[in-house]
Amino acid sequence: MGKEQHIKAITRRIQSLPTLPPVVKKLTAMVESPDVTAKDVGKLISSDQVLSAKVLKLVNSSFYGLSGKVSSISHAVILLGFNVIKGVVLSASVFEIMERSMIGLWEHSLGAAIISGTISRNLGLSEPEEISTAALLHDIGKVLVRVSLSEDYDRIIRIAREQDRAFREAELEVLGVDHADIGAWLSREWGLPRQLITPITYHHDPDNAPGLQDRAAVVHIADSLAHAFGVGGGPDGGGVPRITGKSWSLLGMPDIDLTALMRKILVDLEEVENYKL
Amino acid sequence: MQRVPINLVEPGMVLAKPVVNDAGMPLCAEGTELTAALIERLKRMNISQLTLKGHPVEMGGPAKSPEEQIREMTARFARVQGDPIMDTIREAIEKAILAESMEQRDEPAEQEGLAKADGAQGESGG
Repeated sequence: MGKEQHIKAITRRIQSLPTLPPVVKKLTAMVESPDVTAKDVGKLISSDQVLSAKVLKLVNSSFYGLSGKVSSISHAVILLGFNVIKGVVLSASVFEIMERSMIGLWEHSLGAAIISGTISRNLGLSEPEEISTAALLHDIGKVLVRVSLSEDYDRIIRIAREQDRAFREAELEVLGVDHADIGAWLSREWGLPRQLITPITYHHDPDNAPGLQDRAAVVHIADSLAHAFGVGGGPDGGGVPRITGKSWSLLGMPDIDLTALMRKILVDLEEVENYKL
Repeated sequence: MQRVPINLVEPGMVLAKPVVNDAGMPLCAEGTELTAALIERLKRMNISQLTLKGHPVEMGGPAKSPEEQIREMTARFARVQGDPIMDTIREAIEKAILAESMEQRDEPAEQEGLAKADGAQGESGG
């Protein structure tokens, strides 16, 4: 069976997607309309108080480089753009599910988002905010497996533990696809933009990304570094995943002062504590 | 930089990170020097922890020594040991941990004196 068929088979078995607040659906429709304004979007998000508090909290975190400067949602929309806001709203909603069952994964995702921001700004890449948002969502497929396919999830965990194998290998054995494939499907289903879908899909395999390879590479490296720094954890026990040589050179990492970058990351990561939702 | 429960914070200490309330609203900017009144106000707003510049409070807590941090970090790299890129990263992180801890050891000398001196109010923070 090919990947596509596996995904089809899995999605047929998924009874319900993690339910998102109605605001998210409205938002998705809204940002696709050509004449939507930041004010409209701000108003919609503000109508859900809990959600807007979470969005403000995330937006004020260091990975958007706006620490403590944003006091209203409309302001956030203007500063960060629709794609980022959509990603932030989604992650705030989705990770609520995660918070209850997967605290370690939430912290890992925050860590990867912070590290992506630090790396992108350090390298002068464009739109570091979008890259951070992609990093925040990179393991979204794991949440879906945990929430919607919980028996499979338990089997995956058992195989990984008992046979001391990588979580991803165990996923492939049980599901025929891994959480990146599932995340790719989910993010398309949610109507996320390509700038987020591609890094989510290729975060293990950035060299094969069709375009946006630099963004996929940042998320790939940030994922590994979050494990390296021991931020959060996941069901996979936290061994550091290998970084591909191609992505490392694509970003010009061999030529930068790596120790200085790691120091910056070390300092920025202290902030993870502040953003446990 | 150090995260400190608000009941251990004293006037004169300086924020290393902005304070944001539960509703996500920024309350105090990074670099603000705390006063007794400000600390009281933050307490009333249910802020429980602040991130301060330097390492002003000796908590004697579970802070891990750099050696311990490096040992744990190295263990996490076990599966990728021998990969040239991964080895370079591990070495860079090791240097970063040591450099940060050296700096923390240098920096608090004055800060600590400040925090421990009784009634450090009014003194300008570091």
